[in-house]
Amino acid sequence: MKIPSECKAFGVLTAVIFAGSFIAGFFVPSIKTWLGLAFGIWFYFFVPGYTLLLLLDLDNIERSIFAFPTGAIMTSLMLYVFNLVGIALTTASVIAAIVIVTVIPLFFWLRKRKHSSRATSSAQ
Amino acid sequence: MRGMERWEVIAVIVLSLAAFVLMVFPFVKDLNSEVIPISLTYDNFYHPSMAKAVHDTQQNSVYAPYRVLGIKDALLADPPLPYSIPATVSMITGVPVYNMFAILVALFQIFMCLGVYAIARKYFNPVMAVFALAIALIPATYAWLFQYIIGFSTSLEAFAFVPMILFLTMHLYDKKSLLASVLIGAALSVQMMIHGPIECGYVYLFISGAMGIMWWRTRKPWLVKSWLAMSVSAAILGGYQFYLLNILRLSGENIAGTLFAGNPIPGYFPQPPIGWLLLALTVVGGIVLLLRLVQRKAPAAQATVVLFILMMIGISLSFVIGVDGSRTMRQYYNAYPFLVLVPAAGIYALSRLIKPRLSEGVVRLLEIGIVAVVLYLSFSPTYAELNGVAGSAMATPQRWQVLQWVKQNTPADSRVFYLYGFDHEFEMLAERVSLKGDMNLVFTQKNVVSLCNQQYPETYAGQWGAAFSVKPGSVNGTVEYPVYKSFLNYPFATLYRPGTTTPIATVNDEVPLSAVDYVVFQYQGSQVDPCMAYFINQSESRGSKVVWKNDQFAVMEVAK
Repeated sequence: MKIPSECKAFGVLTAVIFAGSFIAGFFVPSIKTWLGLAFGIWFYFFVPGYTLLLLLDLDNIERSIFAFPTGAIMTSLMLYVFNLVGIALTTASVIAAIVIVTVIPLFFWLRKRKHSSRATSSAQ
Repeated sequence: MRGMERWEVIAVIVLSLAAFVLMVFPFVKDLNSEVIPISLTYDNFYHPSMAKAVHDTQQNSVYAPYRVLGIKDALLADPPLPYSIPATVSMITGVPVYNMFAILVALFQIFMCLGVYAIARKYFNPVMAVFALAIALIPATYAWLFQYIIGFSTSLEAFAFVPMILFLTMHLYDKKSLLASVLIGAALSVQMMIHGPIECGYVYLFISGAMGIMWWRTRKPWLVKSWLAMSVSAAILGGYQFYLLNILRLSGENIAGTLFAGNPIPGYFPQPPIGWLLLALTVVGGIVLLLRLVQRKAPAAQATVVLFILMMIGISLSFVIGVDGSRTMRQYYNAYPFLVLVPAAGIYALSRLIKPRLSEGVVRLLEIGIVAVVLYLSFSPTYAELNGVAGSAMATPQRWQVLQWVKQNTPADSRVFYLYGFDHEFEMLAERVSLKGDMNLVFTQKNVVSLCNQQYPETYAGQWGAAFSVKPGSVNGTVEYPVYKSFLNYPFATLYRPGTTTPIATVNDEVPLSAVDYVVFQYQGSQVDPCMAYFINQSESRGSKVVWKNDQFAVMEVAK
């Protein structure tokens, strides 16, 4: 199975974030701390942001850069709405918010890919 | 990926990581520490402490009670996201909120610079984009340190979405994406929820104007649809926040009054020096970009960026026509990653001039050499400033000890009076209802003057504190702070006046010492303070007792 270039680019982005945080690791007391920092920032900002931007026609560098502000927008707005309706801001609700704002665009992206691959194969 | 492109990506990653390390680790010495890493100014205390309150209370709808006289459900009328984002990121990373706040400010700044890089790379030139990124990430002294020294981190975070908004607007020109329009609107609403209407206000007007000009020139109906999608998306949450901040909390005349009060640039604002080389390159780049604009050689996207830069220069200078200097000057610092596109264009234009006479490799070396000199001239004073700032934290270990003691050993609803030796920021960190005793306030100096004159005050001057400045009022020349009950409990956010006809307010008042539960004070510097020694002796003779002390500070439990 061929891996989409968007997924490869996301892999590279993930590697850069974790490798970059390794440099930060020189300044922090434990591996657990810098891994937690890298994972948290990756999961909170880049995962939802990158997923939503899959729906826009951007190149991989643009998508990787704008994933950070996009993730900030999506996760923080979802959590704000959560809190408005009375859901407490806890680790569980933060994870739930991120999963929601990630899964929905991912679903649309997968559907779009399926349609475009069908269209390509029928054209062939 | 082509060879050249690979080198560009490597340069971008290395520059970003270098900036991250330089921006964070001079301040954050220990990532697991519970101490605020930057403690130079009021905002540097206020913002992280609000984030801590959101983290601890698990909500961002009402103030922590200790911020508003102990009221448990006062509506949070501050923009919530600068506090809820670090609070919730902290839950995922496990890094304490105070440190997370500082790290996120650096990340927002770095990704703002990267966003401008993405714009320049796509719509100008990839090499010029890397030059601009380098100058933006390692900038002149105060442009970099502004948010650390003055503490305008929320202004910076709100502006950090601007590159993305501009990029998506230009993406709209090419792709006509409705999702991009909705995302622009969401970004505008987040700007509103980070720093009120300032940044999102002028950005919304600019984007609307750009779309309007495009529509006027092309008459394409999708532009109208895109503008509507953006505006509706921005209004859904941004509109509510605007109501909360500017209708409920402020009144219309106060907004105008604040903006057009004719205040000059405050004296404590850094006046950034611009090196001769950067200035010369800016002149060259400015001429090139303006010529392209005037001669209509610039494509729509380039014209949009140049017009945005011109607008930011105009906003930064608008204090000369009476707009609040504090608000205009900070836009200069915010816009720095955009402004350095001009000298980067200057470097690129000069290298194109000499290119026909020299080989490609020599030209590239010359370009890198010029950028290196610009960075060196910027970096030297910046690094000196970083070390200076990092080494001048206001909160000493002795202060943190007493703060921790108060937090860990007094009831959560106790009232604490910081008589002497503390700044008003301290109440936030102790998380207790306070009677402010800030020595910076002339009003409260009479307490200490009286003690130094060996006269024990029957009542003490203080300021019962809600720690957000809202509405300059006229109650005996003091400041009035209306507090609103959370709309979650009361649908129309009625003014909360429990048992009184006057607003709950921060009021200057004089109360007997028995009105508070604890007094915190500094009794020893290089020698024992005779005024505080008198206070201890007299208070103990009246039944109060010192319950904790270190070599500088003491906590007294007040007899009832």
